[in-house]
Amino acid sequence: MTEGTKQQMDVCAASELPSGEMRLVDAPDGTKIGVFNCDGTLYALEDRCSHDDGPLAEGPFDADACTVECPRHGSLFDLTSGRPKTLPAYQPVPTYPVTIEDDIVKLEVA
Amino acid sequence: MATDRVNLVREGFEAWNSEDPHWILEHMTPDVEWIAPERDPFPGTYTGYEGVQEFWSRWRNAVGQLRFAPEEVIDAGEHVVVIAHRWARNSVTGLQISDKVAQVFSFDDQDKCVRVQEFHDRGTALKVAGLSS
Repeated sequence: MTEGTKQQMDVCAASELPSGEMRLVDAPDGTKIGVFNCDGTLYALEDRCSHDDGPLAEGPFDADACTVECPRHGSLFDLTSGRPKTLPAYQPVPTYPVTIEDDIVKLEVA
Repeated sequence: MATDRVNLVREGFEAWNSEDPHWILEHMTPDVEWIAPERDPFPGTYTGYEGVQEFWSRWRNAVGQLRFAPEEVIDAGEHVVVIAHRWARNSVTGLQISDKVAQVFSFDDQDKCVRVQEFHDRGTALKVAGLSS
């Protein structure tokens, strides 16, 4: 994430985001962000493929490998880093800190 | 002769893997076209030596130095079809690629390459070269 004023936003109750599930949210600045539960660990990345702005977070999600595949052209992204693992994307997408506080999934956004 | 074109393409891959792109440019016409498919990091048509070098430069910046291992080099008269394994690793970003690409090299009657078309499947490349898959 880039530097600047940051704020936390609630995503959902932790029980509403079990392992293998994804929740799509809108940040206050309008950015769409996918929050993923990879076997109990939460990750968040922007819902925008670095190849052609495709709806990345809405593609097939592999919780075991902790990857998501862009539904447009098939680039596979590492959810832990936002880095592409396959072409045609070659640039990373933004990731965001995500935590659970008082049983609420919270996202740190700009 | 077509066989010479097959050998020329093989030498071209050796030149590329030896990081000698100028050898390749010397065997292309000044108005050569390099056509990258939509499902490519840099889709489009790149024209002339500068265009081709720009295309290569974009790839190099994205993934580092690409290497190729031709698995099939097929004589198709004025065309040569290559099915190649390609791989690279960008030491800065950590991006690694390892996939296959199909390329159709087209030549003029002076055995200069006038066009390179890339595809993601063998069948389309063969069809473009006038061969059945």
